[in-house]
Amino acid sequence: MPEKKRKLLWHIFPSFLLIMVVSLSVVTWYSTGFFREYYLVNSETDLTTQGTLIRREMFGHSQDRVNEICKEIGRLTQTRVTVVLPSGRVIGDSFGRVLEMENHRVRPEIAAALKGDKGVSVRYSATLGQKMMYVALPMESRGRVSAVVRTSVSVSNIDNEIRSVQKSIVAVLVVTALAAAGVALLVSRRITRPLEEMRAGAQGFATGDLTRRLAVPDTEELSLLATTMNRMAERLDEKIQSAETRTMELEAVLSSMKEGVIAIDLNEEILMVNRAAAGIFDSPAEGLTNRNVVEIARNYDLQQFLNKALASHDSVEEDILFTGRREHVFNIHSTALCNSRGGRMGTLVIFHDITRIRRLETMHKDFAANVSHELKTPLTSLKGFVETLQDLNGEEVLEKRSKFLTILEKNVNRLIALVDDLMVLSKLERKEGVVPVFDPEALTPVVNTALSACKCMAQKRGIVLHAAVSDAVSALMDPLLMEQAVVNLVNNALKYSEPGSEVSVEGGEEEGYAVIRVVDSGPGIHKEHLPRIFERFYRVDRARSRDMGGTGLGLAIVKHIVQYHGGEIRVASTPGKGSVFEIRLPLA
Amino acid sequence: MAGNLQKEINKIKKNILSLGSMAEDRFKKAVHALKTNDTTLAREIIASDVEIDELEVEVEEECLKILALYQPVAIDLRFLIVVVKINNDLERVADLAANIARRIKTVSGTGTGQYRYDYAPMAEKTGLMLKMSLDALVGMDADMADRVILMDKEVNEMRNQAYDAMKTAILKAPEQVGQTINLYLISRHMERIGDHATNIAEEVIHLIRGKIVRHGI
Repeated sequence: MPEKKRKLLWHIFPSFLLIMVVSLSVVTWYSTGFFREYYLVNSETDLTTQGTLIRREMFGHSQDRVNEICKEIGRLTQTRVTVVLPSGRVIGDSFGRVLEMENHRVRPEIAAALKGDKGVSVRYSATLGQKMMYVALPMESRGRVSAVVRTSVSVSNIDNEIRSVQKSIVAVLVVTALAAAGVALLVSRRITRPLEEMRAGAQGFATGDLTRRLAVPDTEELSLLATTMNRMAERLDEKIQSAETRTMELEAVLSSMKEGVIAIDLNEEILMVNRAAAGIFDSPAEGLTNRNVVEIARNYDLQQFLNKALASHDSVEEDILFTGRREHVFNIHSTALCNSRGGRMGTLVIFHDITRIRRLETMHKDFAANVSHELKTPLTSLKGFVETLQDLNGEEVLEKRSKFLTILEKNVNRLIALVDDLMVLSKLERKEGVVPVFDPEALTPVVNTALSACKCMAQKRGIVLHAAVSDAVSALMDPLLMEQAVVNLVNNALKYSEPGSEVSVEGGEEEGYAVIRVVDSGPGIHKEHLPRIFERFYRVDRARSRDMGGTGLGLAIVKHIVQYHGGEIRVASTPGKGSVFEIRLPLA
Repeated sequence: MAGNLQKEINKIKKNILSLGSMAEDRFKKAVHALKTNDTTLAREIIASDVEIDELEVEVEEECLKILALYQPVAIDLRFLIVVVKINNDLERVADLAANIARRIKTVSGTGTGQYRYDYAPMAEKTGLMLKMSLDALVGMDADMADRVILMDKEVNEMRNQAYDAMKTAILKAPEQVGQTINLYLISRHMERIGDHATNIAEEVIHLIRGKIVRHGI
């Protein structure tokens, strides 16, 4: 329970009051004391003087006469005079009856006077019911004290006076206390008003408004404080600004990275995730922090990897297959995450999408294997038939030569076609990266030349070739290359169409592109093959394709040509109904 | 005290989800092995079933420990009960995946004229059910769980189709009856996996809505 805080006023006011009360009391005590002392000394002097005078007056008178003189002086001066014999008997008194008065020998002033000195005493008189001052003087005759003359006066007055003074001082004290309260209030206000303003300003700092500045009060201490706080706010503002800038830079770098980045702590809870990584897990980047990785990526291999990464201090690397909407292979790489004191905080995982690289790798491997295989097949058959021809005797040679030579020719043609295609491909590949400059060429002549090249084959297979190309359209292209692309597409269409069916070539302008479309009504291509048919040596049906004399490179060449032109090749196919190949080129 | 309970529950959540991803992984591998006739992968799946069993026991013991130590109430209690049940379902899913892997050995004969059945669509649907039921658990998504329950009928229908196809196949080639029966059993296993996914979805609904929706009540 925290101590209850008091207002500054209540700290100041009591001390003010205390100072007032103490100083007033001291002054009162001292002044009344001094006053009383002065009064008493004065009274004593008066009484001594009177006593000395009366002593002379009394000298030599009878006892009765003494009493009368006493009464007379008493009536005239209001001073009480008493005459006492050494025995203690009172023989004269201004106000009391002599006979009734008790023995005065033991009174301190008289005892002192009997010894020959002046006796002074202040005490309460039972006779008069008042506080009195007594001064006793010895009356000496022939060396001995014959009587004592005592004069006395009431000192009650002084006490009453002092009491009334004290009363008025108490009244003054109350007034001063009120004044002190007022002054304390004023002073505390004066001190607290700038403090209050500074507090409001500091609260502004606390809530993050570091641009405002505190007003500097006119007190030296407070102004120092205010300046220091202003400087602090300034520094803080700079620090926060730079930290924010850094965070934003980091954020920008991370979110623009193509690689997925995830930081997790030791409990596998996500500390940070960038947009690419969130995309890998098919979830929005917001709201992923503090969630467990398992909740977002339910991938067993990834979990195994994270366990390994969190257990080791070195970085770990692995290739992991993600089967989400599409299959992706990621090369994931972990680095230990340490805090500023070097303690382990978690791990940082970077996801690098290597799906494409993997596919290219396989394609290259396949290509090498395919090329050697494609070359080997006709060569083996050539070798076989050449050897057989050599072994034949005269009669058989005549009989079988022409048949064998036809086979040899067919294989040699296949080899030539394959090598030609490979050369075209490599030529096209060499052109990759070079930005070509094309002249505008009309579509019609290109398509017509291509069709006349295919006419022979169309007739042989009994297929009707149609062409519908609008004359007005021209595209930026190399006419020889484009001819080859169209020939390849039409040849394919002819090869796979049934005799008696139709193959049509359409040309025109669509959506800002020059479009050449080859439509057949062949067996069509199954969906799973569509993404791969433009790969080299990819064949939907290997046996059939080779029977037809294909090299397996036709579509790859078409794709390369179209890409070289900055265009696009598309294919749509329905199994059993036919296929449509579409070349899109930039308009002239 | 409350903080500790939450920590323990988070741990349980993590464990049940890793169990889920393990089961999902096993099923995917089994389907892959079935598609590619990969008997090595099938053997791996069967051998690694022990891991799942161990994790299942661990999760159950954790749940019992929390129940005894903290005596949780309301959503926490429901969550733990649901985890115990889902735990069981997931272990069964992994078992069934291992069973599919066992069938692969007997149906992967290369004999000509052997009857083949394309399980890809059924496997896809079942896998989707399993994935969606776990997604519903992660995202506390009762609507998704509802959809999983609806999908169960489709998987059952696919099993019936497989049954009819097998029947005609057996009549055509009675000498291969053993293999064909094994092939049919795969559809049974997949259908059972779909049932377990449905169970998980029902538990998720129970967890979210606090209402037990089992047995079509």
